[in-house]
Amino acid sequence: MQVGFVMELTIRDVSVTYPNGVHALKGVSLRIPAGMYGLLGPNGAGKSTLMRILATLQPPDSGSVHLGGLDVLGRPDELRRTLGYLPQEFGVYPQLSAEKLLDHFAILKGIIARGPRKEMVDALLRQVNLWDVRKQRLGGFSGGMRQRFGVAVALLGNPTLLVVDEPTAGLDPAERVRFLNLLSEVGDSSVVVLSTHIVEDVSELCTRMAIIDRGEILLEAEPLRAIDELRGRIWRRVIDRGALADIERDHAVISSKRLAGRAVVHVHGEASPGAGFDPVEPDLEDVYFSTMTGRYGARRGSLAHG
Amino acid sequence: MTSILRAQWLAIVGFEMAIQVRRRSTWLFVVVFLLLLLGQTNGQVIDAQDQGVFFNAPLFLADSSVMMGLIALLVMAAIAGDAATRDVQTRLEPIMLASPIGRAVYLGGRFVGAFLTIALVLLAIPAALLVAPLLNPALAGGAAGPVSITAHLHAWFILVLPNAFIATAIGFSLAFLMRHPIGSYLGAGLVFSAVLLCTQFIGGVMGQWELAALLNPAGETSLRLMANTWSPTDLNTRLVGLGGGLLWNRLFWLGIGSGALLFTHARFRQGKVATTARWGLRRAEWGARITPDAPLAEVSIPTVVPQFGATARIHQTVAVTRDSLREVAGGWLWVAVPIAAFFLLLGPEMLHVRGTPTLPTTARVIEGFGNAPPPLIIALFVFIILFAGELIWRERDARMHVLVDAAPVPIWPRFAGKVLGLWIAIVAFQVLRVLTGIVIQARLGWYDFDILLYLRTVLGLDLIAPMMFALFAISVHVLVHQKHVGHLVVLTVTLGGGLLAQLIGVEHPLLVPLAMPGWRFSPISGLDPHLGPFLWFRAYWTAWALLIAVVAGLFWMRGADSTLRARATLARQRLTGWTAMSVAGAATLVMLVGGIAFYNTNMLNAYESSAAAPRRQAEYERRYARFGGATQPQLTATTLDVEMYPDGHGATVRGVHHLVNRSSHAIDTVHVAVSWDVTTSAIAFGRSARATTIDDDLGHRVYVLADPLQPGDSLRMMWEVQHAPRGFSARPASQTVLRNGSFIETHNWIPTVGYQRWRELSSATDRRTHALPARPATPSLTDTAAQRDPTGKERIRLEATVGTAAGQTAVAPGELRRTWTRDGRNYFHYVTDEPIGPGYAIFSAVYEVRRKRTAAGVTIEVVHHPAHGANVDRMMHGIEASLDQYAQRFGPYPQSELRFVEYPGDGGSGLHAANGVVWYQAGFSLFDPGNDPRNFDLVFAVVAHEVAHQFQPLPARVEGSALLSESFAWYAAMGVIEQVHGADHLERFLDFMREDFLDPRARADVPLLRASESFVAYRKGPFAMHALRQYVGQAEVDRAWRRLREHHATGEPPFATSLDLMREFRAVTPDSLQYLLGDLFERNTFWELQAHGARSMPLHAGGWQVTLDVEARKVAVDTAGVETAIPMNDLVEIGAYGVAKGGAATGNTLHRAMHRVRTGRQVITFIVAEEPVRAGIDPRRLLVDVTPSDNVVEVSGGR
Repeated sequence: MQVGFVMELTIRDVSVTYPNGVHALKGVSLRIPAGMYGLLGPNGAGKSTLMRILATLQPPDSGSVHLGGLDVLGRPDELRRTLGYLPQEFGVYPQLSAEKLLDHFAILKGIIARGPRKEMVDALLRQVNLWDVRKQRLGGFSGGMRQRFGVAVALLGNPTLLVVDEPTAGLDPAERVRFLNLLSEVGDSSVVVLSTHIVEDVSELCTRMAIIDRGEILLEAEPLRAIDELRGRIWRRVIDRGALADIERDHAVISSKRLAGRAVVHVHGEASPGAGFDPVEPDLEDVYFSTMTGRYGARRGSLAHG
Repeated sequence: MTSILRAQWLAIVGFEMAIQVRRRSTWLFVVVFLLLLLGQTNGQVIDAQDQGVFFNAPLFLADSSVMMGLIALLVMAAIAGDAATRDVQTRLEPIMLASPIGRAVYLGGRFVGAFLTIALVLLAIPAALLVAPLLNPALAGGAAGPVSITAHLHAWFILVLPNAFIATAIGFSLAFLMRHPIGSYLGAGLVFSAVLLCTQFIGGVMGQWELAALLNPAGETSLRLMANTWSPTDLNTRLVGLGGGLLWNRLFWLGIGSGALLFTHARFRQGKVATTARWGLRRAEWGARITPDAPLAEVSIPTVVPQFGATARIHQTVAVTRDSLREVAGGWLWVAVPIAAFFLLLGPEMLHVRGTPTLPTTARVIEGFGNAPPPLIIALFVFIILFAGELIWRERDARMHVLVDAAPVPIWPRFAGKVLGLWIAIVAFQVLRVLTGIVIQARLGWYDFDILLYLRTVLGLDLIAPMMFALFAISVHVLVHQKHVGHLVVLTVTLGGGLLAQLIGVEHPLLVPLAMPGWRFSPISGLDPHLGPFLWFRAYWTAWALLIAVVAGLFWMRGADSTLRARATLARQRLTGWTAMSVAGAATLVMLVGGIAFYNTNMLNAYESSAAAPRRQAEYERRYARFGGATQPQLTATTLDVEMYPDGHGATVRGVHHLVNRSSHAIDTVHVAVSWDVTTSAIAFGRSARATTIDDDLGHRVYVLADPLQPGDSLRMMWEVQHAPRGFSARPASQTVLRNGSFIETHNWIPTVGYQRWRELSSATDRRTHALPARPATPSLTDTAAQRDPTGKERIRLEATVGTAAGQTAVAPGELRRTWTRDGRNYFHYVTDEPIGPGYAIFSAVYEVRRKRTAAGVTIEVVHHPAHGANVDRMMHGIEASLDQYAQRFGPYPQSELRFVEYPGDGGSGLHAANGVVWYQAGFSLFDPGNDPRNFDLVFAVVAHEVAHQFQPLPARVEGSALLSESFAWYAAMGVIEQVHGADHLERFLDFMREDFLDPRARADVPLLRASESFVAYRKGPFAMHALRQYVGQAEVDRAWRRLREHHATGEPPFATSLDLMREFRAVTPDSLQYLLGDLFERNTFWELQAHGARSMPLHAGGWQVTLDVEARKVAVDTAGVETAIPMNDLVEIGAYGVAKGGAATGNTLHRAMHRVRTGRQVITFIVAEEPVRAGIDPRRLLVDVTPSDNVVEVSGGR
């Protein structure tokens, strides 16, 4: 039995080109150990394509994917036996109750025996907090409730690989927290790949992460270590909004935010960029923006010398 | 409308049209359409040509357009459903509703956009009707009239466009209110069923033609009425217009269509259109009601061990099946409830034949409903097509496929689950059919349910086709992967493919599934001989369905949509192991079963298309008609030795014909017509003869005698034929020798002397197609050669020895002289005392025989299936009474026995009279005249009719011969009915006969003397003789018939014609009534008699004086429909009736006498003894009057 027996997901040189010419993935390679793994990137970075490949719903043009010794692309049926997948977008039969549809999925996932199946369905409904509404039609569910139902489906059958695509989009803050907690529990015993464009999702939960943009992996790191590496290199200054263009010309600005009518800029630099800049304790957001702007990670060389 | 509103509205309309016009399926429909139209016009041309009408006559154009419009209901449903529900499906609705567009503009724009697109597509109809003649070779014979744009405009604006509006409005509204495009398909189904029910049921069965014309949503009943009542000249020239109830019909339905739209708008504006959709649609999320959110529970998730073995797959299949049933359940009810209601309400009526109840045996119920209204069969298949699509698209439509596709389930349990779901729905339909059947039987007091028969047929044989069709439709949807296109492909392949195949002459059941022979059940022969071939062809197409299904499984899309190439690659990857073996297995099955079937249809049997028979007929005529005039010896006696082998379906007949040269010259050449159905082996003659032509393909042989046959000399001809069916053929199985219930019509089997003119093609179109010279379908009344043609009119003495299986009784004409058993077989020896005609038959079955000897010494028998004894008493009574009476009226019965023999007859209930024998189809045994609400005995009447044929003169094969046979038989039967059952019973019988007059019919026709069409022969003719009987007396009319029979008693040419009959009638009719003979028989005369009012006045001397105000007119109508008024000074019956007492329908007859009535309005006075209540002109409807209902009026009281 696979539960408790932790393995690693290896992605090698995976490329996908869509018929319209878009290179969704360009030779992506990742090593994903057990635990929560964050895949961070902007919209259109190729996250969902990668997630669909992991979920066996789309074959790549080239490359390989292995879960432990299992060739995911060659034997998708076997992967599906240990797979939990929560897609970014999905629907449900609106006229069925949560309990009935979850039971249906349990059978599809191979949980055949009536007793254990009921036990599992009940436990999951409690776990995702849909127990009280289990008899209600899914058509009446809110976005968050539906999302939690999706999690219950994904968790059926104790998956060793959980692929979760943008799960927090559309959730209110409280729902999001609950949801992430739920995921982290599962992460104790399996590989959980979480794709998101929200940095907090990763910083709060993931022991490892990757940043992806335009089909390429820009950074593969442990969040804490990456933050450590940036320590002392991020500087902050509050400026008038009009001055942003000047600052951007002169400094390696990685991000800017509005704050009470003025702008707060974060600048990457080995040493203090000058007057008015204060050193700040970096966070994962700084890692992300440094990576995206080429100050850190895979793009660094190309930009620094370019 | 403000300019902004107008702009918005136009934008919505334009947008809608742009979307619809861009859809591939929209234009695929146009192509399908054109193909169908080409096929349809072909049939139309042939029908029209036979009637001498232009195929593009305005009414035919209108009719074609309406029919095409009905097929186009599918496009309408697709487009209207899409327009009504696209925003729900794409979740755009909230955005649309939040925009500042008014609800009316939004809804109206969508509808108008859809409607205009449909109108655009429907332009294909006039286009195809204009183009089809150019492409159709069958039109070479000048069957097309001048192109009339006005006629096209009438068809388009009066029928096609309003029909499209009605159907689109109903479909759009239903889809919009149900929030699902399936609503528009249901709407289309309703419209279609209504059209068929109106014409077939409300009109055809109930006779409520006016109601049907109003209620028919396509206006098709009105067209039918016009087609039936217009003369050929009318048809060629008249425009459709708004007659025939069409005006009210159009207003009524346009009102319903508009009403549906207004209702939809009202519901929409009031916000009563659910945001929740039924039929598997997502609920819109903005309406969430539930928001309880407690802190996360701390629950440990139990560990389970998932299973992936065979057990799990079965469970998963069951789970998918259950899920599929949720999808189909709603639709099932939509179809099942109306069907069940229809059967329960109308089922008993549907078991009536000619209005007479039949015993509701299980076979009858199955048969009666099997042939039942096509809308119900169509409903089942439309259900299958629609839900095959819905099931395959179920997860995708709910956008849940991503979850399911990532689940560890292989494709096949999901595929199988969906198929099973649909199959269960189909089985449920059939179970419903059985249950309604049983309920109907019970309601009619019949408790002998043959459950086994229900299981074998309705829940057995009848399940195969829909289940295989469901498998095919689901597979197509998997392969096509576009819902609308999938539906279209299924339809096109099934219907279009069948029609197209028919058009290009491909009709082998191994190539065209629709050409598969079906099954028939007879209580006598069971499913024999249909069952074997039925199962083989089904097995073959089942194998195909399986093959298509396993191939479709290879292409099943999992996860993201992908290109065709990617799917092909995937399919190739999947083609391994078990999958490859199933494909190979299914393909092998196709080859194997197909091979066996092909071996049977094309190698054991010679395959012939339906075009082969007319081709052979034409070739036979071309090659051998020149021998038609050759003097030939005449057949005078035949000895038969028949060996029937019911179990092997085979038979051998050996025979000797005794031929005599009755001519005045020597005959050196004998032409022999040999059978087209069975094999004729060597023919030998009693003297030296040499075969110069052996052409068994066309069925003609020529023998030259070494010594010519001198006048008066005779010649023996020895022959043998074999019927040894091998395997099965592509056509419906031969119904001759069966395990039980064999029936051999000998003229199809045994060799005959001379050229056989009856084998020639008779329809004008067929003759033109095969380049044969034109000739009337029936030879003209004045064709003297035809009047003398002796073929088929020989008088022969017959001696037959028939052997058959143990336990069975064989029947042949004549007296049964001896029976014996040899080698475990039963033998019967029959000999005729008096000569008989050559059209006789031989039977074998397990029979029960009722026998009686009449006072006149005739042995009468009813030879029947042991279980079919219900009507035997009535039949014996009818036979005996008829024989007695006819012998007095028309002269002695020539034979020493009269036998009625039952045979399976493929579910029919008809009878056929030959000399000394009448054979009847098993359905005749199931009549239940005791329960006839009209209180008359149809069985007795029909028996009397058939016995009368024994007393008819031998008619020549020319126009008007039906008057001497069928009209005579009914005329004669009227006398027996009146004598045995009384005058009231006769009146009820006449009312039954008059029911057929209710069907709308053109007045244009030939006079009775040239009658050959069945309505004229079986109804109009008998009534003319009935009238004559009332005017000149039965004894006189009978005397005319008796003399005609005596004059033609020898059986020698010339044979009797209607002109001879006329001569006898003239002889017995007084001078004062000679005009009546002309009106009844020589001209197609109609009287237009009407009573405007009647008054009565008490007289001082006692009694009442009645003043009757009548109007009269008489016209003759020719075949083109031209009316000529004939001045009238006729004797017409005038009647008056008293108060009805004791539940009688009418009161005492106070007055009934002939009065002179002239053309125009006039007053007739007479005196009666009691106070009259009703009075009228020709109250007994003796004269031909299209509206006899206005003949009689209430008498207004004594002022």
